[in-house]
Amino acid sequence: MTNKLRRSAAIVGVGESDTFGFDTNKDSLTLHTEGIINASNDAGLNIDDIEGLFVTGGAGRFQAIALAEYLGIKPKYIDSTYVGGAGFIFFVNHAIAAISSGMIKNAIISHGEVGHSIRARGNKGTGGGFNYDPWDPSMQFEQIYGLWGAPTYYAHAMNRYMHEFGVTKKDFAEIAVVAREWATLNPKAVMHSKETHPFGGPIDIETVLNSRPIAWPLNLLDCCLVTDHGGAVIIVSKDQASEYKNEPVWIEGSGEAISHINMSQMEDMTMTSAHLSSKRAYEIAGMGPKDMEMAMLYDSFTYTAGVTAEMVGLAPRGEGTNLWKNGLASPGGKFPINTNGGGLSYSHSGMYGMLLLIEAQRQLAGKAIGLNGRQTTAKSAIVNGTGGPLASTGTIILTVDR
Amino acid sequence: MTKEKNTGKVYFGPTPDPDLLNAKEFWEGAKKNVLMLPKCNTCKKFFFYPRTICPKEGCHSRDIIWEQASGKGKIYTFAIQHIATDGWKEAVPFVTAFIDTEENVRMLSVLANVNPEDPDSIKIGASVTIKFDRVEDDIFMPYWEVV
Repeated sequence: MTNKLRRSAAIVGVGESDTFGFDTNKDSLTLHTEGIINASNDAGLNIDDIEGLFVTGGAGRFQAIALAEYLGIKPKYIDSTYVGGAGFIFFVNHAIAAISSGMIKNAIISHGEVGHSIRARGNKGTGGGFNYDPWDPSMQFEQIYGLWGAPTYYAHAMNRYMHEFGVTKKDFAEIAVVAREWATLNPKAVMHSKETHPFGGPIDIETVLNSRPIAWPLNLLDCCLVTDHGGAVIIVSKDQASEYKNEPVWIEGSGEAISHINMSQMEDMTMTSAHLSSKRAYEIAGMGPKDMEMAMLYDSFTYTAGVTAEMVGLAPRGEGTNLWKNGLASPGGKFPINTNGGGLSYSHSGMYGMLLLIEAQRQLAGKAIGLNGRQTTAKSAIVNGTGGPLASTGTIILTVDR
Repeated sequence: MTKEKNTGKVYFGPTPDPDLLNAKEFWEGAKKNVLMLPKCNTCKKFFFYPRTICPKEGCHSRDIIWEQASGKGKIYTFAIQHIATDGWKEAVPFVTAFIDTEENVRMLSVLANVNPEDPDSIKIGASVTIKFDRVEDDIFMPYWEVV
């Protein structure tokens, strides 16, 4: 029997901030606003008609309320769940719940974050930096020993993974090289070329391995960019899906999962909860990994993408990096992954999940603008976000009728 | 590494407040250079970090006691920190490690007496023993050394 949540809603519009990358000179509410207006125009939705507002990132403590006030709208359903960069995928899951229950007919998920500028202003890290709080166990029993941000944690997981599976730094470097191949096809990618960034344009494995160490085994080019970026996606109920300008991109299934927040509580550091979030999404969709034609896998680090490919069933354990090494994930390959250039080479403001959603919609709707080869022929996609110190994952399955 | 050897200083972070987070026994133990761990008095399992509830599936007892641990464990994984903030800037590169103790809890701290310039020389699975660095008169911070 078909799960009643399957295809209960569709993505009908996406948008990004007018500018993004380094030195946008914009605050996060402006980035949110530009994403929302561009997504609304893309779909043909008046923002006064927004019923559900799902917000995280740089909108202050009261996130969704603050953004609603800023825009001058009063949605009847809001959500500011904070689970790191996977939040936007969690929001799709939550929006499906609200839409399929009949509480709302449409939802806008919004992102606006000044990951670069906040550093430039002297605040450390994308999450606000090391402001020691002795009342917080994760500060008191982990961070206090010199950890300050994502790479300092992820490096531990990557090292354990390499130890267990005999996978090398070189294998992971392939993921950075392929991400850059996609970026060279995407003129909007921060690292598209020497014109867009002094260190932009193609790279090879040696470039990755010789980039400066951040937290061994992670080198600089194993790590995502830290930029300013805003974006939004619009989701509507299946009954309304045909009323907007774009061909609907159907949400076949969605799932979320959490595992820990302190890495000491992460039983097996070579896994993430994506094996659970993807299982939940596949079950609703009535589909499996073999039905997928492309993937958008959160690449906060080369490691994150590699291990996630295994968790969502695209590769056997220990063989995630083979998708990149064998050319499957590359432009022109049989299984394109991270077709915008990824968090590694497109843009990543600290919480990247929104950009996974936007790119998946563009690919499936046939609107991936760029150089020849950027637009794939994929009609289905798996999207997986990872948040916090490998702490939370959200998975959705998307298709298009064509 | 040489820096640490010269000064004997291993811990470069902020000074914790031992009165907070139900961890008084942990810090009292550290003063005596012993590792004290919280243990569930119902399911008899150790856990870490300190909590007012047993986190084990199927238990969740509120009856928590403290016991002295062996202070021995093995390296589950480690990383070499080349970028740091605040006091830790002075220590780069330094090695952080998750240690699985004999009581089957996992703890993070610094790994001393290893060469951060040579990651291959540091072995996952190696036996380690706990040490304490005196950072203030009665505040001692735990770290680990390869046996």
